Amino acid sequence: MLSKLALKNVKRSFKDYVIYLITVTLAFSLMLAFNFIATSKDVINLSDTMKNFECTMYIVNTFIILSICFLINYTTKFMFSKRSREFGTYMILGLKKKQITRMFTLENIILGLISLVVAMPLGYFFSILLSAIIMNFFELPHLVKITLNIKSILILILYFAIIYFIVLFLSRRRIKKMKIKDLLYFYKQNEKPIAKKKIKNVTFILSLIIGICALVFFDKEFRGYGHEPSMVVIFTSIFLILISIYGISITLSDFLLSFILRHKKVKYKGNNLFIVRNFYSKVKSMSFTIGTLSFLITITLIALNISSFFKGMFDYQIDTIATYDIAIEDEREKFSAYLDAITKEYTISDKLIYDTYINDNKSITKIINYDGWRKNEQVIKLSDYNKLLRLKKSPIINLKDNEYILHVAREYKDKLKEVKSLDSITLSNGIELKKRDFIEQGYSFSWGYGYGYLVVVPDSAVEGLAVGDSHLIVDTLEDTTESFAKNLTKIASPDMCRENEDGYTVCYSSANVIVRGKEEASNKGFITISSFVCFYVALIFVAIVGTIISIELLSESTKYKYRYQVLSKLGLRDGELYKTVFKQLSVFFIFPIIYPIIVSIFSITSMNKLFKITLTSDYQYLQFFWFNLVIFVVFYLIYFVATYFGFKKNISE
Amino acid sequence: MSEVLKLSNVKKYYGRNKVITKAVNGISFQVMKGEFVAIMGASGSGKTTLLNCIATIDTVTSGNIMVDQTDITRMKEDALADFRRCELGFVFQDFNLLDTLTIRENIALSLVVNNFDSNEIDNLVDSIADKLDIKEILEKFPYEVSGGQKQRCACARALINNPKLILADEPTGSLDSKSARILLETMQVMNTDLEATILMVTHDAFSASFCSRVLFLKDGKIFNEIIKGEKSRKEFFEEILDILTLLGGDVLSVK
Repeated sequence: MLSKLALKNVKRSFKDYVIYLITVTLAFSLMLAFNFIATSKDVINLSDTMKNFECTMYIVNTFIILSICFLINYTTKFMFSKRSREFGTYMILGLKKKQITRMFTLENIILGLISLVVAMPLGYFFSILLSAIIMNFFELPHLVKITLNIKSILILILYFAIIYFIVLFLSRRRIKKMKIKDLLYFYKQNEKPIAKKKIKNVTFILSLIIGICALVFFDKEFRGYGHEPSMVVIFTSIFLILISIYGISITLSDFLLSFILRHKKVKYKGNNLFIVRNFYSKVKSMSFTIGTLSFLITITLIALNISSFFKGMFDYQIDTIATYDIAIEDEREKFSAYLDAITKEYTISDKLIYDTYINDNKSITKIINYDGWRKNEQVIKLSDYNKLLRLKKSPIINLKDNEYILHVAREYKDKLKEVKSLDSITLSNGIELKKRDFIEQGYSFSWGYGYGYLVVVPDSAVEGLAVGDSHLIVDTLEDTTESFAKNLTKIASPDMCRENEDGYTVCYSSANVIVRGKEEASNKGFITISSFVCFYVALIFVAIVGTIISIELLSESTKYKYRYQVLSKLGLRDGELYKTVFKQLSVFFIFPIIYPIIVSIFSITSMNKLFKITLTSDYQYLQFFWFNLVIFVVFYLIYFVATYFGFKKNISE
Repeated sequence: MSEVLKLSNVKKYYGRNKVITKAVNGISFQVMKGEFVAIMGASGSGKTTLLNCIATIDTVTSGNIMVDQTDITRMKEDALADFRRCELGFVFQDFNLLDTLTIRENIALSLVVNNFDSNEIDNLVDSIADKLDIKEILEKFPYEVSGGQKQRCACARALINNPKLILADEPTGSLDSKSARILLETMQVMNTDLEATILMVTHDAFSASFCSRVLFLKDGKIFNEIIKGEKSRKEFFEEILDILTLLGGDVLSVK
């Protein structure tokens, strides 16, 4: 009978917890999908660093499991309060707590198992979809084949067991503590008295100060390129931000309420009073949950942005290091050997051979205190420079006979930009040139190998300068591969290749060979992992946050239907009523994201100090920020729309 | 006649520190087997609190409650569950039926928990439904039947175990006057024909006039007690009204 009752309850609960079920199913299927991808042979073979991928996923999954626990625990707690009278009735009829626990456990396991079963085919489908997206994202030529592996499924089942073990343990404790009286009269209970307003306002200001301090500490740690941030300070500031998020979430509504009540104009405008009071009472009863939601949203936004940072870094690196399919710096005589090797494998669409010249007057090197292996400066002819630009389809530039352009990598731009002595330089052949332009792009590393800067001069100005390096640039029609890079390296210095203890062939060479396919592969691993993982975390967290807000609001719509009936009896037309609902839901959905947006924009601005040299500009991160905010809002909107229509349906019934 | 319920100096205080509400402040009385007793009083007089203490829903601050020689204030949790299942029946103002179960299943629930034989369960449900006139609706769900029928179903559920004592908290509170009358007559049948001992809390003089004895509470204490004896129901009703006037308040709500 108990199991029959449990089954019947499940059947009924189905309708009430559709959103919860969808989210749990979604979370499980995403977990499965990402595990499928993480363990897929094709993905692991993408490059050497991908071996860490699986391991990273286990760590990330631990956090995901905890947040799914939070979600499921929250919903069971919620179901519990909703069904308190039912449980009270069971107890009145003489059911022991043990029996009630057994029934509740059974119900939850049935609901969970349904999600799990649905999640399996869905997870497989997602893995195919996601891998296609990822492959596209990283511009991988071949499609990754996802294989159904038992290991991933078993791991999912293990995760399921862990999650439900924790959740059921918690609800068992909850049942143990409950009293019949509280259950039967739960709906009549008054809200617990909470801290006085004054204390709340003080807490609000204190939380704000803590938040600002934490963000400042955090910012101070990111001093820029070459400075390792201290992990202790970073974690301390994250912890402080966490406190501040909770503090503000708990107290902000009081702050707003006291503000609005004090200003009569705002107070009596439209339905403001109704909305604010409703909102206040709701936030008051779930302030801690809102804190957690805000925290999850903060993580989501930051995770999305870090994901973009990595993606931007990847794109920029590939573009600057491997601007062309193949770039070789070696002696001119060897170029024909290289070209032969290339022609054997690929169709050459474009090629260019040029020299850089040596300037012994070290006007730039002095300023940046360069103490590396090159002791002079590289000069490039304008015509060669323009050919390089034309190859990558950029507009060409013009120079007068007495002008030069300083092209520097972004690492050096701060040191070189406003330097007066560089307004005019004298080359070692005695020609004096005035600075025409300052270009900050990373190409200098590959165009003039080994330097963070290049001096672009008119063709006539190189007369009398010694030739430094010779370069061969080739664009191919086909995509280059990692293995082809090894072939070319062998040509560079066949005698310097040897096998190491691990069986790998390592070649040392005075020449330099850059093959795009190889650069892509070696960067891809790390960046794929980071970008992918951040995206995964963000996706699941948005789902959790959306579900909790939605469940809260939908339950309110049935519980406080009469509030809306009162409004309609007071003469509010349906359209206006829905507008009120819309406003109220908007306020509730927007409230938990305000502070996270502020925190995330400040923290990624700090992180940008570290990342910016590897991005195309100092402010590219703002583009990322908006882009990610849009992604987040789109997902969030889905929940908002679903809640709005559900709400409307509930109150008009 | 034996004593089913005996309260001695029961007190129930709420609150902490300075503000203490004495909801029940030293009440003693007995209920004999086969009695139909009403507890009346204005809102806030402590009648529901008292009933909750007897029902083991709430705990007492001091004093003893004996049900059939057993002191329920000293029982452990599991024993209380058994006690509620075997010795008590409940009827609430808002029915407290489970809406996932049919009326038949609702009535049978406590038998099922008691591990009765399934054939016996059906027979018992049928016979009690017959007496309470709800036989036709047994296969329906609670949301498909009227409030009066729901409450009679709740009565059947309370009665089916043959409990020593049935506790009813404002059973007519959610019913219209016609359904209320039918229910009260049903309860009278339960009391006279099925020999159920009933303790009912109400603030409605009409409901109370169906009982054999009425206790009046004021500020957590017994204020008065009247017995129907040989009086007609109408006379008894008038008498109750008189006392309510004396008590002050709540008379207006008496129809």
